Amino acid sequence: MSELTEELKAKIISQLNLEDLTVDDLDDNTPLFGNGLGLDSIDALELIVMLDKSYGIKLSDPKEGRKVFETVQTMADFIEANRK
Amino acid sequence: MSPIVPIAVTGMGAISAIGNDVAENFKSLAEANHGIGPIRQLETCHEERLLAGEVHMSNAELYDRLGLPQDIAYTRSTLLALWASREALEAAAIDPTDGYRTGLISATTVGGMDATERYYDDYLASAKNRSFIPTHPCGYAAEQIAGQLGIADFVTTISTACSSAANAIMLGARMIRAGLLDRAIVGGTDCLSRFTVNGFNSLMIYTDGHCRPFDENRNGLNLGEAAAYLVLEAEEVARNRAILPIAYVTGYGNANDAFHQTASSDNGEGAYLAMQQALEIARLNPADVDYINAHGTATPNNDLAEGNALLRMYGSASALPPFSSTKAFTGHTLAAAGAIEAVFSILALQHQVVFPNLNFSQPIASLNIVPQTGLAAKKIDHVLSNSFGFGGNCSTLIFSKDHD
Amino acid sequence: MDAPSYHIQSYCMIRDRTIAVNGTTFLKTNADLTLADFLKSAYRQLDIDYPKFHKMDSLCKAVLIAAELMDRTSGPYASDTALIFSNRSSSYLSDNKHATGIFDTENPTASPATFVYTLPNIALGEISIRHQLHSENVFFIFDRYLPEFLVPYTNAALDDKPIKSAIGGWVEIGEHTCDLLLYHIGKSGDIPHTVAELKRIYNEHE
Repeated sequence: MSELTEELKAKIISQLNLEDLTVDDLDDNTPLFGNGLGLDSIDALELIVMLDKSYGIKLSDPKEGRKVFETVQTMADFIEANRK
Repeated sequence: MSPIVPIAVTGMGAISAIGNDVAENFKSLAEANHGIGPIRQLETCHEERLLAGEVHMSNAELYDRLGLPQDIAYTRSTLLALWASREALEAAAIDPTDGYRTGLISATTVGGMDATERYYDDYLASAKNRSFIPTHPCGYAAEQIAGQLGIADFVTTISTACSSAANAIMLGARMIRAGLLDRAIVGGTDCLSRFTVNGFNSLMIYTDGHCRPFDENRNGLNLGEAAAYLVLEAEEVARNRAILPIAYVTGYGNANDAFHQTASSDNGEGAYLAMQQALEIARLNPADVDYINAHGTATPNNDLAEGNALLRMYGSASALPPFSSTKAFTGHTLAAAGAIEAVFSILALQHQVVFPNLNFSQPIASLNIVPQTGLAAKKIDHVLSNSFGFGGNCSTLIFSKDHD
Repeated sequence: MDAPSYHIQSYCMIRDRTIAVNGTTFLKTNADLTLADFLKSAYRQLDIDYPKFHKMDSLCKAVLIAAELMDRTSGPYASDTALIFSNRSSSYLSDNKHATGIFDTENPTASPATFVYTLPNIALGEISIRHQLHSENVFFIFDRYLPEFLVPYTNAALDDKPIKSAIGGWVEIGEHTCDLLLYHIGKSGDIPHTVAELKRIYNEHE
């Protein structure tokens, strides 16, 4: 499980151009949106693309993404439950 | 401040999914015949699922009917622009050699992208389509159109996303008012392209079915293609040429929302400021507006933001004048939107009708504003038209039957 | 002829790997630094905390850096400072990136973060967000830098309304090259806002 969260952190940082962050800076339970990392709606869309391309999971409703992308941990849980 | 110079509209031309000229467009609007359907002409992987407002003429037909030589490269956006601008010039009985300083201000975002995406892979392999290489940049179409129409005094291209054509109209009005031009052909053009279909789809704001502007259950836009142009003249020039104006551009405003690259602020700050500025220039109160042709793309975000801005302007839902979005007819035509909707606004003035907002059944819960759903006869002196673009670029135009 | 009503309060030029403000060098790097690294160095030297910078394309990054430097010199900007920009190739860098992604035959990808930048006026949006400008914006496409048009246009826009300041200029950013001249215009200042002066400034660093 922790291998997936580490992998996710690296992907998030590179996909979203979070230049000033390293994998160590990202906590499994830090809120990604809102006050945590301050990601925005376009970042959410990029994460949806990443879910599809890297893990084969398609999210067709952007609102569904809100729950899934709450933290790195919730993303990892979702992927484990749904990956092909 | 410079003296007010009435800006007369003396001609217009249009081609869209609902008609190949202004009269056909009006007929479709009046009869509630929309032009949104499966994508037939553009080859895209989304053609099964996404609907769009395609113009019902192929490039070959446009070449043929415009009498253009086959060996010169014209992209679809340019072909549509030539078609619409010719109608406008004929309607205004313009002779470009009559000595009046005439400018062309055209708007586009797609430019020659439709040709590039079709021919790019071939360019290195064969010389066959290389004549399309120079057509790629946004500014090229305006040069070709100016060449065809015989306009040489001033030519430029504006590219500010979905508010581009509205800004082109605003610039034309300003240049005439500033005494830099006597006359301006202003408007915009954009054709469908894989580039934009894929792009909007990636933002998850492209609906699966037909768009539903201002409806609680709206979930995105349909793209469309169109071209439309107006002929603007200093009123004195129109009088000297014995041409009766069909309308006047009496107000214009542009303001940045300063919130997000592609989403509008919830309270529609940019939209509100643009509308306010246009009303100030027109020296009108909100209550003087008889019909609002909204931007109304049917994305969850735009319609909420625009709706909020309208409520801020009018104070309550009951105080709003009749309003509608015509994008369920034509699709969102991007850089042409401000111009095709300017034509629709002037048609509303000419025929004294408000056009319907199709596909509406339930108002947005937090706003409770209801658009005009059927064609309605009404006394109309002033129409306000909104066009809001990515990058927070919000523009508003006001057209009037007469001027002060 | 009347004295010019408006003046250039500060100007920023980014030419290839040099950034200068009012003619004084702010940053000059090695010519073989990539454009991305050059703009990143400039960001670091600016010493601002604005992570959104890294999501932008090179056009928006260059514009943001120039706007930041002028803000420090002749700012803060009034919230109705008009933005009157121009270039030749629109948003070519992002257009190319988006097209390459969606036309890839093996793995076609549409990246929303890339698509967002496929319009030249997004750069206006980015500095509006950064400096909270709720002002009038326009973006022209010209063959070359054209002060012959921009000066009377800007003057007419400023004369027309209560707003008395603008940022304008030319922002042509290529894959490896920068040809950017932006200037902050207001009522007062050392350099008159005229075609002759702007041509002089634009050409002085050739």
